[in-house]
Amino acid sequence: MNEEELRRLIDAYLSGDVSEEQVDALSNLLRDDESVRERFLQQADLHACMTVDETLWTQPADTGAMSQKLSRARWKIVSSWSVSAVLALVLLIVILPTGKAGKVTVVTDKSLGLLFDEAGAEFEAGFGPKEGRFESAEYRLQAGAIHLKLVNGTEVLMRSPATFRLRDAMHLELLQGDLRAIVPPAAEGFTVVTPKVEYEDLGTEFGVSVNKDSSASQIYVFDGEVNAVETSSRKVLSLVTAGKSMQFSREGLEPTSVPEHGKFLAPGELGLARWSDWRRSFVQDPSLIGFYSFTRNQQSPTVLVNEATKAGPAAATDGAVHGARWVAGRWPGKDALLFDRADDYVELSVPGSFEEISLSLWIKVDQLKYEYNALFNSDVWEPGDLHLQINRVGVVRANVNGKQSLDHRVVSSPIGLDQWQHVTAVISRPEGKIRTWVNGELMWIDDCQILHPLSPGKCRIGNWLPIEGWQQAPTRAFAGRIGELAIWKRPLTEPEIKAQYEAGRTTLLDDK
Amino acid sequence: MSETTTPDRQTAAHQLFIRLFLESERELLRYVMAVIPNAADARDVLQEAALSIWEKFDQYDQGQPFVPWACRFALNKARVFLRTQARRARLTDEVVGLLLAQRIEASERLDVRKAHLPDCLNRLPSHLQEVLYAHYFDGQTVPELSQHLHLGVEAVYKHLQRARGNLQTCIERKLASGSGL
Repeated sequence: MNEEELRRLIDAYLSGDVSEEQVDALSNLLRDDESVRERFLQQADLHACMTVDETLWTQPADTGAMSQKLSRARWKIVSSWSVSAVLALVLLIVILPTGKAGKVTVVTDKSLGLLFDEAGAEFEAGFGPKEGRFESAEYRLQAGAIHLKLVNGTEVLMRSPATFRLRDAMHLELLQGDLRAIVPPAAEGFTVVTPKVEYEDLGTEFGVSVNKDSSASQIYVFDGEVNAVETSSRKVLSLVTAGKSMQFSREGLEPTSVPEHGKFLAPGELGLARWSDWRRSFVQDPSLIGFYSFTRNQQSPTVLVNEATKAGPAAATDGAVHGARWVAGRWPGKDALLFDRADDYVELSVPGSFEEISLSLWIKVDQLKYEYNALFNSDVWEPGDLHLQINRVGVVRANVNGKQSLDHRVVSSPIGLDQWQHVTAVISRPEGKIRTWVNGELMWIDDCQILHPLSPGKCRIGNWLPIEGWQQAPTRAFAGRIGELAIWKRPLTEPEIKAQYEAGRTTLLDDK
Repeated sequence: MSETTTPDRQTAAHQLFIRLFLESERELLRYVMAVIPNAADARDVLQEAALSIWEKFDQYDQGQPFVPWACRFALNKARVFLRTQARRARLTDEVVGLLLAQRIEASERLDVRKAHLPDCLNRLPSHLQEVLYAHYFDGQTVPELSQHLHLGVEAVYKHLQRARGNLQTCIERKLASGSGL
């Protein structure tokens, strides 16, 4: 074997494009000849350097081929993801056995708190927060519900109608309505002031109601203890403990029955309420051919129901769940499917062919294990087939079979791990564009010529059925949770994509 | 790490470990890819190795370079990984052992070759640069490249092979001419 033949043999081995006989021949040569091993190591290292050293591709160059580059800084961050996941695990297990990372929120000097979440919230004119910030002022909630976070970490949840004044971060005066306060140790002493009684926290979670007309108030302590202090005399009337409810009226403070379940709004209920309202109107869109809310069907948990009711014959089929397991979704009471094994998937069919298609999903990525991690992939890979995948560095890309790419570029940061995120893809054949968005922000643009109508056919959610007989077909199993999938036979507009993200996000303070 | 280590020392050790590991990750991956050319598999092996390296980190002498010490664990993991793979289309365990031993000894020579790579890449014809960029940086598989470039799969393999062959030739010419870096 001459030098050139040896080089080609080694190259073929490194590319995975090699027969069993060729590997045996190469093994023999490598075993017997140190110089062959040296040659092999040189070629393997060239291949390795081009794979791992991003600076080779990001130095200034004047060729057209180098024009579609990610920034070096971005690549440096994302290229460590695979191993940083392990490092994070080590940290969590060994260094941080308890507790979790807090979100850093910048609050201006005058702000006492931020609107953390809301569902249909409307305030009386002149009595609402400014740009989601609460200052020392009176607020009148006329519709919907709110969840606010004060600068000392106290969380306050309330439904309309409610009127309250924030005196400072430690004193909230409740004039009307029901509220739940969740007080961290750092804010012990947080007080809800009512017309006659002040309820002073001693490290706890409690609910307070005030009747506007009678000025009577009621407290229920979920956990910990609360002092009930008479405003006029500053006398402690009672120490109210967990599971107890007291009412203050003309007769004074006296025990009362435990309030009905649901009287005090709980964290997580807001997001679910907001999403449920949106879902009712959303499914009326006749261009929506598939809507899978990922709500577990108690009778048939292996069926993922298509809830798009107006699609007619173009409707996608129900999904068949294979392996993926039902778990908690974005909020308490919302389901999702967990995909954590290589053979987990949901199978469905999208019949017909289309000029334009949009897809959106709510996903929570645990790991990007493979070069491509499938979100929604047509089986095999035939003309008109569609693939929506995340690559190893976190770029969400859509692709169709039968496409001539003219230019493609990444325009925003890669997708994050371990948080619920909204992913959208819009594929337009007439426009010659494939685009993806994450959390309402454009991520990827592919200017292209799409040669065939889009015909997804049989598809898998969270996985890919590769081409039969492709022996080295890569695994593309998604690792994480999926909590929603919608498919339209038209292109979504950017305002629509942003509105969907806003309606479905877990809280208003989600990171973009 | 020892269970008797105090929390502060453990935190400091973690911080040092993470810094060293992140700084060395590419170099370690380069070592592993000497015998596992598939990048995804090599990254998985390095993930496994990261845990082993951490477990033995109290044995690491901070006066010594980290990469040569840590690469032993990575190469062991690589060898274990290869043993679990189907026998078809892989090198024998004996050959893998020989290659790994020689890889450590060849480090400096390979570093010299690597230093010529950027210039050689710039000298490649643009169509070969493009195919390498799409494959290595953009992560496109050969079938995907085949579709994007409107070439057969075999033709794409040949393009990649030609590009890598040209790079080897360029590096060797530079070494032979004693070309400065």
